[in-house]
Amino acid sequence: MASAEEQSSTIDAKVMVRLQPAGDAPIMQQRNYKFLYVNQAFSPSPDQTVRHLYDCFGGEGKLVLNYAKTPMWG
Amino acid sequence: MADDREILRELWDGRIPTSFSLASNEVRKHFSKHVKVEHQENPMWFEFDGTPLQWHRPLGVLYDLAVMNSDGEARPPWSLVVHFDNYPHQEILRLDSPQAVEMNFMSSIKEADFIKHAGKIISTMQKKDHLQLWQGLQNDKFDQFWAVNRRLMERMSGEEGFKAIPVRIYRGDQMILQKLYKTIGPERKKRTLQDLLDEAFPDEDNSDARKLDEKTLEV
Repeated sequence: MASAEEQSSTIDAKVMVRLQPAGDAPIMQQRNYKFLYVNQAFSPSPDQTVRHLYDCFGGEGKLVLNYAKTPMWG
Repeated sequence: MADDREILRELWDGRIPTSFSLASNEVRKHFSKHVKVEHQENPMWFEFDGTPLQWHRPLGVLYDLAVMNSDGEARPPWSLVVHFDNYPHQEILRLDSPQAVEMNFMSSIKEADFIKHAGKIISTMQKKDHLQLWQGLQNDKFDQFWAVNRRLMERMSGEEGFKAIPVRIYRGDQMILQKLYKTIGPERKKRTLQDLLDEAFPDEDNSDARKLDEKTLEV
């Protein structure tokens, strides 16, 4: 059984991560934001991987993440 | 799911006997009131067998993984070491405020609802409902928690079931596995746990129930 890491490296698929500002966060210039959300809904666990997030919440090669300077969606 | 009240109650009442001891290099008195003044503001963290516990993971999962990794030595009571110093930032999530735990919990609830109902239930809830969930859990109030949680665990009217089941599979030190698992399979057949395991581990024989011990499921 290959580990998840090995598995994902053998899958020839790239996920485009689309970062969208939320609230008064400016369009990305700095790289550090305090809050990150998936589909304008919830914060993923910080140890979650992009592949799993894409599998569960992405589609058509894209995963939408929102970034913010203050808590936005609860 | 929300109707199996007796099972829900049994799960809720599950306990892990645990003994806590303060790390020997820190003040050996009785926890927070007595630790060195300069450490009192530090976040507390637990260690088992040399490994810091991931505070954002379910306790039952942590215990099962601990038993699995220590050749069964983690028989109850589970002996944890309590630390107030040298927070292992590299290994576990930061814990800057008590609210971090609540936010982590609510995020999991929302993520799960997104998988089950496309987020339609959680988005109709009010702040007080969120608070009731959290406080019910925190204060061990089964009825308070389930009065709100049952809405999250019911199928929506007009739906055959959840859109998909929120499940994470833990395997020792390996990465967590999380995918979308539909409740209805081909030919409209209801899918079983066996189907889920076969999909997650297509190269393994998942029919042996003992093998399940090697994977810890969180649903």
